[in-house]
Amino acid sequence: MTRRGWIRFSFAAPLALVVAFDVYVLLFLASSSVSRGRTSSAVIVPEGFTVDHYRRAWSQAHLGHMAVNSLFIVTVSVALVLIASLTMAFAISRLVPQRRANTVLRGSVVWLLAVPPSVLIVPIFYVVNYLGLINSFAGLILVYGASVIPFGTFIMIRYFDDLPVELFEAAKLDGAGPLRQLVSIATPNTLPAVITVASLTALSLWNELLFGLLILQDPSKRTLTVGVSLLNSTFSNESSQQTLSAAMVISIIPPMVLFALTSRRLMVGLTAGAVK
Amino acid sequence: MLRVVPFGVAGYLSLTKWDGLADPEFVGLANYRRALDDPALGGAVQNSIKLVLALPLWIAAAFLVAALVHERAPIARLSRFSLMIPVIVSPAILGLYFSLVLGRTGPMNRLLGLVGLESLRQEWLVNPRTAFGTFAVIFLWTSLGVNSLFYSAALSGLDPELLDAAALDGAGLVSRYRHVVVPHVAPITGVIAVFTVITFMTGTFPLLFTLTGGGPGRVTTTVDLLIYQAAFLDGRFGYSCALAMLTLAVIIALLFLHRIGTHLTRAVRRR
Repeated sequence: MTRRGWIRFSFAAPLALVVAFDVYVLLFLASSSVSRGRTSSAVIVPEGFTVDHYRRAWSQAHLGHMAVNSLFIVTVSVALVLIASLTMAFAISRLVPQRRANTVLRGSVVWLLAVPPSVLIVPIFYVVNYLGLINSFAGLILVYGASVIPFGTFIMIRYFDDLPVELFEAAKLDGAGPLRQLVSIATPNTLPAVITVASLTALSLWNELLFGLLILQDPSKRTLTVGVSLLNSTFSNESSQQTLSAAMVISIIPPMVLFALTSRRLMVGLTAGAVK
Repeated sequence: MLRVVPFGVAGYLSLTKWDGLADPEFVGLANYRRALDDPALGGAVQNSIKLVLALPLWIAAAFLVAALVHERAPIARLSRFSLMIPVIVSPAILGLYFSLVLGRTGPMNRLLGLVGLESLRQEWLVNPRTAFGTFAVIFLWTSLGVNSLFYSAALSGLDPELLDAAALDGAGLVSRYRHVVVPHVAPITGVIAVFTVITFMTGTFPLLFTLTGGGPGRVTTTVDLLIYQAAFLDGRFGYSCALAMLTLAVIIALLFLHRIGTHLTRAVRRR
């Protein structure tokens, strides 16, 4: 090996460790969830094969019910986020020509983006409680919408700004109002960005724990991530750890599928904040 | 609405004593006075500071991964994908997972036994001496993927001719990185640093909730976990809001510092 080759090799070793660790994480989870024998061992090959753990997780822990809750909440939230961010971004990008107002609006989007809502749990809880929306899907959807809309708006502003002005002037000549321009011109021309926002929103909300925990306290309304996180106390003895593994596998399948479908767009969205 | 109103509500509630049910009772600055000599807050702040002290490691690791991908090192691309696992899987689920793996009879201890290191076996998350370090390593791992993506984006914006020119001038791999690449990605480093520090105070809850719950004792308690516990476990909502306001003040100060820092470096460079 050349000297350069050695340098590369020595740098790649710690990386290989990280990869091995990650692969191990997944393999251990998958194997212990289907193993017939007790797999509290380091071995990642299942001893025998059974789907009993999945069956138990699904029926005893009501995972199916919670999955439906999650799916509903995430779908409606994504729709809300898309509608709100697209209209807000369009308004800021195209409809507010006054320089001062425009700068203030853009600045406030960035500031909202920088302050994480996790610090504001009590006041958000207070507001939702005041509105009488504790234990209702609408309450959680509102909070989810509010926490992701700044991000969606931020991304969409950047893409709308890049569209050529002529496109909109032509539409205006044809008599298209602002809404028409947004729906038939701005949105179709920024479809990749829209997909980025939608998939990143879906991913982060599916995985959200804190507000799901606080707002939907009724066990029958729990989201999947919250439900699985709380299984810890129900299935804490050693024999049910495999049931727990099965539950975890079930809960990560939807985000895995989403990632597989949209990974490229997702990665663009993840880095969008930094390259402003 | 739901994002702006809470700021005002937080400010008001932080001046009250509220149990979450009855009407808030106005108590002035008592909550803030209490925060100043609350050992739990002191511990949480210390924990945040410990994480901040390790910040260079956080950033260097992310940069290294991105650089290796950029230089097309073997398995670098693969590692990038595997580093996306913490992005795809909820931190809450990961915390649950690691509480299984690192338990007394979990695979981590078995693995140590297999390679003859029985003496290192322990309950990683229960032993007060190892709990915080274990949490820190897992937390580092969960942030590595996204941060290395930031660097990758910055590296792909780097003009390859600059590097070629440096190479022609006889600069080796190391000095090319020191004099060309690192200055080029400096603004991104600033962004990553600020946002990582913010996540130390606001983004640890889901992982900790299932991993240790802040324990043993308060060894792994962080600021955002404390804000949650003060309100929803101890029923001290007003106090929790005071903590939130203090955290917000720190975040806003950080963001301003970052802005001032960027302006200053720009001014210096222009000169």
